[in-house]
Amino acid sequence: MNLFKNKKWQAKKPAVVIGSLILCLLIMASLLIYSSTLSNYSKEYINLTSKLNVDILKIIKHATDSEKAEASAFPKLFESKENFGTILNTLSHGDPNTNLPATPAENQVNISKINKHWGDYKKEIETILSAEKTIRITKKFSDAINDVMPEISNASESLITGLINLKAQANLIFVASHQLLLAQRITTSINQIQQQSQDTNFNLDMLITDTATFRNVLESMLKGNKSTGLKRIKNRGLRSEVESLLLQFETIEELVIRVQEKTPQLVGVQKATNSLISNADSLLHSINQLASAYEKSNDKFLIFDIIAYIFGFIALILFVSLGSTINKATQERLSFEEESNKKNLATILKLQNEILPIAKGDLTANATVTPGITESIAEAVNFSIAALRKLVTDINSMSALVSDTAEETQATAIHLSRASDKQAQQLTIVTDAIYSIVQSFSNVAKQAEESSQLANQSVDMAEQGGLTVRNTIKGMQTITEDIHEASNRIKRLGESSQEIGDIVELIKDIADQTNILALNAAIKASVAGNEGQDFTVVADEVQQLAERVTQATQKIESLVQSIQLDTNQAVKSMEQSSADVLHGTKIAEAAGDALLRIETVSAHLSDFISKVAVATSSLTDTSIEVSKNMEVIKKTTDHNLAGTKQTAALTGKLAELAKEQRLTVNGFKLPQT
Amino acid sequence: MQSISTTHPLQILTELETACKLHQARSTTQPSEIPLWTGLGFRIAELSLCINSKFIEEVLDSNFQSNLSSVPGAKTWLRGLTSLRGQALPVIDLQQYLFGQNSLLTTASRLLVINYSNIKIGLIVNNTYGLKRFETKDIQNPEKIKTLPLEVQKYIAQVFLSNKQTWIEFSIKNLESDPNFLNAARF
Repeated sequence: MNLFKNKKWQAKKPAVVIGSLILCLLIMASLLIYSSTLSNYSKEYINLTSKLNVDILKIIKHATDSEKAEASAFPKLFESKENFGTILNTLSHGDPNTNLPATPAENQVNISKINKHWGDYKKEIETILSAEKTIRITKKFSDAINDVMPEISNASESLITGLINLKAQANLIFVASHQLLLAQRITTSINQIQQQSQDTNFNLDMLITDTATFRNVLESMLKGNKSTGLKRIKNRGLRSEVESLLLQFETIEELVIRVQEKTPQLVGVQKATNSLISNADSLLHSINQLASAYEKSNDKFLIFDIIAYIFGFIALILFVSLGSTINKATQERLSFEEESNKKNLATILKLQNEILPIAKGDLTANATVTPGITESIAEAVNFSIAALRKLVTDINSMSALVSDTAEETQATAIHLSRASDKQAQQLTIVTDAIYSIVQSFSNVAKQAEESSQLANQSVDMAEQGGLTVRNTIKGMQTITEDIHEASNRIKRLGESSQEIGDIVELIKDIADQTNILALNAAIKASVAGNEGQDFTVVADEVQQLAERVTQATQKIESLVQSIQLDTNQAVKSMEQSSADVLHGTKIAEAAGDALLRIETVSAHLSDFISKVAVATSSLTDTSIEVSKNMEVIKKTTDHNLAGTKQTAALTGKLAELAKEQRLTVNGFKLPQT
Repeated sequence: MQSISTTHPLQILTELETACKLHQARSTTQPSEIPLWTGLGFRIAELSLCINSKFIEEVLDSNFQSNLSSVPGAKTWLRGLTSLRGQALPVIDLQQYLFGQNSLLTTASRLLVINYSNIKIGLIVNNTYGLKRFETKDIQNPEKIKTLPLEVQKYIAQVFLSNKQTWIEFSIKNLESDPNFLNAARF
């Protein structure tokens, strides 16, 4: 009973151990994941706080730069301010985009502290940003003053030189020199106001005073001043210099007034920047507090890691105990199986010893039938041995009979095969001879066919040639007629041109006579004196015209001559061509006759060849028939020969097989009967 | 067909017609100035000569040869006598007279009928160039005469240069007062 209980427990134990092992591992994993998530958040918070630190430093830097009217500082200041606000918002409310939760409640106190400081800070920054325009304008004014001032200094210097040269009042020279110092001081003051490097109100006061003094001195130089004892300058050149200086200085005065207007706002900016710098420490301090708070809460997550490692250790112990339990059970099962195997082996070995002689061919042996694992095997072996004995006896007697008969048959078959072989050889020779005859006949027939075709072609060609020649002759006759016609026309043309020549001759004569008549008229008119003057001119023109007509007719004459030359040439060449054509016609007629004769001969030839082709063709057909018959006979003989050979081979094989069989069966030992 | 000249005869005739019309119009509208000297230009050998038009009665064409009767016993330059409207006219070959080489008579040859102090003679010339008019500025320096052929020199009245062509005024007076000319008999 106790044993049974123990066994049941043994079976259940591994499952329980595995279950608790998995549980421990799960707990460990979830704890580790939780702890790492929390620590990641904490790291992110610390990271953001450090960014806050950086932004504060940036704000202070950009604010200082903005004061000095650096254009790029304003957008950067604005950007840093926005950045700070965004990060602070993320820390207090979390960030849905990165799944960062809001800061835990314990650290919210620190954030609200920062928020309070930031509210003041933001106001100061906005004050600076709103003054952007004012700061830029002031910068422009101060730049303008800086541009103009050197000119004023130069003018003052030349004024001093002038005064010294004139040996003016010493007091006046001193005051004029002092002007240079004032100019320098005005520049310095305006630059300090613009850069806000010193107390702006103080600088402004000094600037206004200096400007007023400068003007007073200039006016004194022009008008004189009893209270200071300065006398007015009398030299005209110097006076005009002072006047132009006064004019230039008016620009500076105007600019100073503008700067003065802007000063309150600049002072505000200066104050704001100073408060930014002084409050930075407290803001940075609260940010650092927040950072250290985050770091502290990060330490708290260590406890989750420690618990996770404890669970891991428990899981390791459980794993080791499970291993030892499984090992024990396996060893017990192995010892039991080994014992039963030994028993079976003994029985099998006994049966094997009894059967072994049978395998060597001794059919006298028998297997002992004992109960157990080999019982049915022994019975089956005994039955098989009995059947085997009967089979061996039958085979012995049958194989002897088969062997004798097969040897006899083989002898007959070999004889027959030799005879068939000889016959087949002779048939092959005859068939080859007939085949070659058929080949030659068919060659002859083919050639005859080709010759017949060629002959037909030549007949056709000769006919075509004849036709072409007749056409040529006709064409040539037409050409001859055409040439004759053309020649006649050209001759007529030549005659016409001759007529033209005659007419031209007539014109020439007339022109000649006109020429002389005109000449005579001109002579007569010229003799007549002034009265004949006009008529002289007319007669002159007529005479010149007549001369030109003569020239034209000369050209026509030469043209007509060349026409006649060409026509004669043409007529001659036409006559020549006409003769050539006649000659050609005669040659063509002769060719036509020759072709006609060729046609007749070719037709005869074609007839003969056709007849030869037909005769050869029928002869070829007959030869092919004979060849085919021979082929059939040869095939039959070949077939017979193959059959006989195969029979002989098969019979030989049969005899061999019978012998082999008897040898195989001889190995078996039969019980004596 | 072979063409002798690039100018077509018809084209020449057309030009002629337009030229006719043009000149007709101009001659009536333009008042012509009175030249210093007017004479007939002609050719002997390669020389361009001219004779004052007041000495020229008329000009005959080359047909004069058809009724020319030779004068036996006369020098070779006296070609013969011809009848001009019922008057006998001695015909002189000027080239032969001047250079001793008879002129070939062609269709271009002309016979100038000269009337000097009521003595009429006919001069054969190779060609005529129509009436020539010269102004004072055309008259050349008498020195120029020496550069011309020796045979002609004593018959030169004066030399003109017009359009880069030198014209020699042939003096009829010198010719008719020359004893050599007046004695036409061979022996």
